[in-house]
Amino acid sequence: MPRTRKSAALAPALQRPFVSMWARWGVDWRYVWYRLSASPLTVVGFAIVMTVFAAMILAPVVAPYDPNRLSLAVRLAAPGWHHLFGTDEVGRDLFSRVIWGSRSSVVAGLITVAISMGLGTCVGAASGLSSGWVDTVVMRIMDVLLAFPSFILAMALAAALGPSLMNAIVPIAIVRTPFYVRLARGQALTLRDRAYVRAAESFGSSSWHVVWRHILPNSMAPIIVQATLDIGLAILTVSALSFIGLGAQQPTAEWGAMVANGRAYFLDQWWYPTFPGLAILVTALGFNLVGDGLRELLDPRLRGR
Amino acid sequence: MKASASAAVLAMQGLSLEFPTYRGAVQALSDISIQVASGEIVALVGESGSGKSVAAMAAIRLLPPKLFKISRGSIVVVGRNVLELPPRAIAQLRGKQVSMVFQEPMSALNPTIRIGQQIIGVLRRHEAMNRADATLRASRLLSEMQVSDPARVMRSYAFELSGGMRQRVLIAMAFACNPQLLIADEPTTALDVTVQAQVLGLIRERARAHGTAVLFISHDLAVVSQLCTRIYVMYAGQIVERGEAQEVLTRPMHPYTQGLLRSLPETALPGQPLRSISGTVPVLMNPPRGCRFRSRCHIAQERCVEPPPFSNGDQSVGRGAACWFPGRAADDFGNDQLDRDNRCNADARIHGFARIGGEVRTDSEARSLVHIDAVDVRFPLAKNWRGRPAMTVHALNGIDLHILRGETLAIVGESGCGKSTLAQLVMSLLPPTTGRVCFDGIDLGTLTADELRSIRHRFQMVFQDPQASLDPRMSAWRVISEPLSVTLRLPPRDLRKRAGELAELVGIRDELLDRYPHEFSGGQRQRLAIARALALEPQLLVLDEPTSALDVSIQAQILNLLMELQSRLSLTYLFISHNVAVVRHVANRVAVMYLGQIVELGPCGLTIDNPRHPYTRQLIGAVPRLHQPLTIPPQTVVEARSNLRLPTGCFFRSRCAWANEGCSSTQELRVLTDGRRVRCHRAEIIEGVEVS
Repeated sequence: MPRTRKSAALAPALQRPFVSMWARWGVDWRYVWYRLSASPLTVVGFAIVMTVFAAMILAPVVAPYDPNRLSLAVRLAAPGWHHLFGTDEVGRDLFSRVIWGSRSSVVAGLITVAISMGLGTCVGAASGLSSGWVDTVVMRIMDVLLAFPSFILAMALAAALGPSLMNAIVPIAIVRTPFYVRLARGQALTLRDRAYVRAAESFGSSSWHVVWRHILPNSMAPIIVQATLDIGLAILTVSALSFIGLGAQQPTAEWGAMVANGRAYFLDQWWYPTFPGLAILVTALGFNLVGDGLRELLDPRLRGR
Repeated sequence: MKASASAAVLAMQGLSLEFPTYRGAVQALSDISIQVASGEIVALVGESGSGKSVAAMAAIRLLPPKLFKISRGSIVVVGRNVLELPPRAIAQLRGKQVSMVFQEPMSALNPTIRIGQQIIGVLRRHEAMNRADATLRASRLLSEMQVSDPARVMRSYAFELSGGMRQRVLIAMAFACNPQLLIADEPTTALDVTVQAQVLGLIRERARAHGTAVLFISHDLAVVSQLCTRIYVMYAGQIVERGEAQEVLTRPMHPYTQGLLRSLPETALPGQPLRSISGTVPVLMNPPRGCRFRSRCHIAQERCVEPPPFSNGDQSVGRGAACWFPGRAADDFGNDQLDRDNRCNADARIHGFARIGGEVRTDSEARSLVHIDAVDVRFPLAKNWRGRPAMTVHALNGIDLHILRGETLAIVGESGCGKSTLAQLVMSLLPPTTGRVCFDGIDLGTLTADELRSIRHRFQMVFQDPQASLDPRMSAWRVISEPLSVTLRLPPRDLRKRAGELAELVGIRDELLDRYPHEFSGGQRQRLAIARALALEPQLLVLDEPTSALDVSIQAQILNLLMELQSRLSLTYLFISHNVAVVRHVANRVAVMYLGQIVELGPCGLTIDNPRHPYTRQLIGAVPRLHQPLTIPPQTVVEARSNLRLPTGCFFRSRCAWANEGCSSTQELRVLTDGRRVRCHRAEIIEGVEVS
């Protein structure tokens, strides 16, 4: 009989209520802290993402002005104490608009990724487990989607649906789905042959149980990394669609649309397109840094170093 | 053979090495002293995590430089201090004067370069020779390694060769520049026993012929006893015992060495509980002061809190053990040796029970729990452009087998013989291509998917690697109760309670069940897997190599548990294993498989101690045994035939030493006078020859 020494057995038990929620996903905070301290860029990324989320949630509190309040007296004012980022051609405060803009740009990015991740993971897992002709058909459809230049496809779809922020989200989500399908399918293919999946089959579990209990939880790590990296890209793409007029419409505060409007003033009023553009840049960068950091954190090969 | 310090090819003196991690430094090696002289084969034995591979890698600085710290000690290889040499000089040393053979030959060979080019590359890097000379030398090396067709092997890629052939290529490469020191890290662990015996023979011959010093790392005491002259036993990063091989293995001084030897199934009476070492290896983050074995030691006293000195002083050679009471438990140990001699008598008793194997058919049908009736299993391998199978794997060929209620039926055979396919067939995870599988009289092939699901709870399976068979994202109690949650849909509270009862059954305390599988040790994980398999109260347990991923002391614990559970719960076991000693210990009957056929089936003791089929004789003969010389099977018999195209007549004929013209007709599994079944028409003639 194995006898665990008393002190060794007690110590983790005492921490249990706090640990168990995270332990389910294999999170070891000491390890997280150790890795983070070795990569300051990830910490910077986390800080950016946290700031963006804070701005998004607290927009009504943080923003000094109503983003849509016109004030013709201060048209195109330079950045200063009253208007941190200056104002636009109808006197709206750019700082407030950038903060409120996160609610459309970042939320649009998040929704896009949520749709493509959810759809892609389900389709991919199903496709990988079914194999046979279903798998072949699904993967060929994904190949077709991948073969299109994605931005042009998104543009065409958005144009066909009519210009609006929602109609920009859907095509981008569709265009990004194949990446998740491939990832999830690959995961499902390897996990399908794991001994614990075969064990589950051996006591007669349904394929639903296998997918829900074993395949999905164990395939999420690379998918979450991909999703985090994708948020930056999605924000960029939504902004790009808005920039060419297929996304958010006036007067919605949206970073891409703001850059588009500000373009005409770039030479004389540099701040108008610059600050929304910087917002896009910094946010996308932040999510990418977090994604890279997560990839390292979740890479089992780096464990124990 | 005594090694003097001057002649030592490898001399480690007081080496301490640690790995700094985020949790703190792991003391991988503490004060290790090892000497290997030329012409000597020295073993470094110990269980996983004892630090034996780290010691070997440190000797030629193969560890990634940033990850470890050497706090004390020195390493001298071929007269040079390895710790102070510049990287370039180390690279010169490696391959030329020191070479290494690893466990996994596939990952040690470059898959994109032909074998010949790789050997030539090694030769030309270290010796000034032109391509033609190097080619000639490479092919000569391979033929010295008993490769029958060196030219073909040199043209091949690694994946085109069998495991044994790859390992031979690696050994050829290791010996290419006549190194003075060879470090072999578990070189035969991944190989079948017949191939293993040959590879060991090759290492021994080469070392003897060229005076090469060999540091042989292994967990297998039987292999070590056959090959090595001296032994260092490692435990928790320390050397606990050293001495001449036979001396250490017959009269072990350290309680750990004694425990290891006692854990071996071959040292105990069949069916009797093994005397395992309780507990597990301590964590080396903050190793306990004093003797590190004391928490598991049955003779430990207060004095053991102080670090014990070596009984023969602070040298690195000679007989000695790091214990305050060396040899204290040895009297006790002598009795075990007696036990071993008494084994034959005990066998007679066990055979009395197992004789049912060959009895009248009607009786065995009544007692039969599983009946495998003329089953073939074939897998289409590649498909041609019309979707027809172009190649077929003949995994099982005409299997006829009864598994009787309450017995342990073992299946043994080399890799690729179809044992795991048979397990999946019995578990109904795989349909038979022809024939039928009946469980308790119900033909599983005729059931609908729902009916099959409702009968599955009566047969359950324990897999080989507990690490892989437990979902890492489920807590232990969810793992154990998963079968219940699938079939009964009980509320979580009841599941948790039942999981606690099941865990108690396999010796895991209830309060540990909120942990996740990675927090358990290997042996505990296998206990969890057994608890899960028992959750549905099955009649039959299919055990697919349940202990081959475990250390011997843990293996002993698990085997004891399995035997205890069998008598308490009156279970039937189908025990799949390549380890003949384990099978000999636990099984009532044994079926020997070759190329998807059963070639011999009979009572366990009789079949293993006095095999009749030529294949069984060869297999059993190649099994390494303690205190017995290495027997090297002849070259012709080693490579198993491919099962892509079945041979005609007797499947074994091309490898058989007794083959004659009668072997070209198909062989039936026929009953011999002593009740066992053998698929050989000459079984009675072969009977006379004894296998030692």
